[in-house]
Amino acid sequence: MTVRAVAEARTPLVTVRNVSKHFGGITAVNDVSFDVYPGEILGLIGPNGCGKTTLFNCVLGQYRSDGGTVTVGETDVTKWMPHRRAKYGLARTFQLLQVFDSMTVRENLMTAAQPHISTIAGTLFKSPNLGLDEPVDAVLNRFRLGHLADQYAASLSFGQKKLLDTAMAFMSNPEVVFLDEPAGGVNPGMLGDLEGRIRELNTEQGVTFAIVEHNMEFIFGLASRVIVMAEGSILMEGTPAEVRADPRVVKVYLGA
Amino acid sequence: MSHRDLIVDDRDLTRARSEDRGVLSPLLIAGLALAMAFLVWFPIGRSEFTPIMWLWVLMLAGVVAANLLIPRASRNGTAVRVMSTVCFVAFLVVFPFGRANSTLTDFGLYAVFSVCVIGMNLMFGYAGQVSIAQAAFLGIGAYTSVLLDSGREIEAFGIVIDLPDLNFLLTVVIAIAVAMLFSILIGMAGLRVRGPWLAFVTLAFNVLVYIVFNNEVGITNGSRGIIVRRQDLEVLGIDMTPLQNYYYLCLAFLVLTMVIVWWIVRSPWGRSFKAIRDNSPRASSLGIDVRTYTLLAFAIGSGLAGGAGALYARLLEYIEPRSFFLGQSFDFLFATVIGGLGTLAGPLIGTSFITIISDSLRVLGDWYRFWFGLLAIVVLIVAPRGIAGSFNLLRARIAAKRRGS
Repeated sequence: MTVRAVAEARTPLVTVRNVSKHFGGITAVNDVSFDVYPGEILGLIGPNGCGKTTLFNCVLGQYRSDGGTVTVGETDVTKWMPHRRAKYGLARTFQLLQVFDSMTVRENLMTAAQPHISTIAGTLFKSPNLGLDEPVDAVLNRFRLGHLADQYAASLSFGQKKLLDTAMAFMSNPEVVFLDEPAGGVNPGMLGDLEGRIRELNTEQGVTFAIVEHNMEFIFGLASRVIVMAEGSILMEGTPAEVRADPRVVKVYLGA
Repeated sequence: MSHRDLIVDDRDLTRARSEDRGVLSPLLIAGLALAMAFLVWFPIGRSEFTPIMWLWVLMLAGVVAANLLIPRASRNGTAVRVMSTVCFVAFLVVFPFGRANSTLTDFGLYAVFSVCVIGMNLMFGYAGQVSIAQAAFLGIGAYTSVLLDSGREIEAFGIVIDLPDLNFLLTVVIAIAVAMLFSILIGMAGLRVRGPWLAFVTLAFNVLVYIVFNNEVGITNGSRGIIVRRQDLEVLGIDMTPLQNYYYLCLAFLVLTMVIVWWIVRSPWGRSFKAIRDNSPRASSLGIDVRTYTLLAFAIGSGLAGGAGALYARLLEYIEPRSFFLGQSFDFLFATVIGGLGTLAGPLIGTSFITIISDSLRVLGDWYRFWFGLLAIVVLIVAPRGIAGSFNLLRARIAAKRRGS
């Protein structure tokens, strides 16, 4: 039984149906449907401008899609604001670095972990850390950022910021983490480290991943299933081996 | 350069960013120090100079040196912060004591306007949303409070209403609530847009409020204003007729505001505000409700201005629509920026420019506004991070030099 069959035997965690997104006359995402199954690492590849990031933005709420639905478990989240989706278990990183420069690494992680505004109102006059020190320390250790905890994010190197950026996505104990080019700009030495972290979180904590990536070796080594996009639509999906061998993929992307 | 680049947090920056170099060349620092020295010397030299003044100058120098040389993050750093705050409050308590009414009014305005600027800094410096309607909220607070404890009879829309004669402190609370309510209403509409567009929305709101104050003669007495007597005003059993007593009430309000805002800034709310300022799409993707938090910052900041308005009316014993027009809002904006966005000390420094310092420049005659404007331009070019921000940068650089990096 293939990995894909195992994944499909279970009910999907995230169901995306017929999602489209237009910008003026340009169709960035055209009627795309896919599922994310619990416990898998899903890869999403395709040439530049094929709509991968736009698709992520539609799934996570940064964009309001022009049609289609996004369902998490049984719940339709299509009309939800991004922060509500985040609290419901969908975490993400962005293609460009997105950390809070004026805060320390610890404060960055704490911000990412804090509960909803209404929950905080009751605890406002207690400790400002809300008892989050322990989970923050756990993530600091997992991502080996402990020695940088009290440094300002603005003073970190690119690679360190990238680690922090990824670490922040895990602070809310998400069900699914959408990573947009986690390997972009990371040097080869740290790439293995990043791969290790992701695999560790996947096997030990059961975190599900959906990853957009341009680094083929990285994604084929990590993903259990890969979706290939081209010109706003899904070209094919399959195991890394199937995708690597498919002539259509080679034509639009790999071999070109 | 976006306003985000202008914000330097209260604590040591671990490493001053490379583009910061050159902004504060020694020459410019010297120029700024000279300007500051002039501003301190000028009011001192003008009047009320006593030898004891040198003690204050010495204390100021001590506070500045201690803050500059002792790193923020250390245990001593905390002690320095506490001591600086104590010295500052002690100055505001002791210095105006027994002085002329003009000085007490100056300091009273300083306390009241500081509250407005602290509110504006919470919105602009911490949550990153520019609102240029702070004077409108000051006015809303002032008129609300004045009308509610006057016992007057007004005519609104053809109906004659007998106004209640409520307890003064109660009217302050109501003034805060009403300002918050208006800010939430304008925020719900206005916060759909951000940045310069939000600034325009709030600016329009300020004009609109001014027109209502000016034209609803039946309620506000229009451009003739309302005389507000402090006579027989009693707060917690203390007679507020002497200006000195009332000044201490204003100061108490300022200190309370400082404590509340200090707490908010270090609370999870404060972290959310900063997250939204630094990067709101990211904050939203991490589960922070950007709209609600921005509205919250807006409501708190405007509410503070509302409370300040209630105190402002009795301080001057007179209110008129002109006091709450755009010029006043821009003064607050100027104080916020020149003091240092996103710092706790910034508003307290900045407000002295629009009250005590600008007032002492009045002796320069009709041109004092010109010199004041020129000073503003120079400071903003030399130190775009404001005085507190530049100070933090300087301290960070000294700390880095000492570490030998």
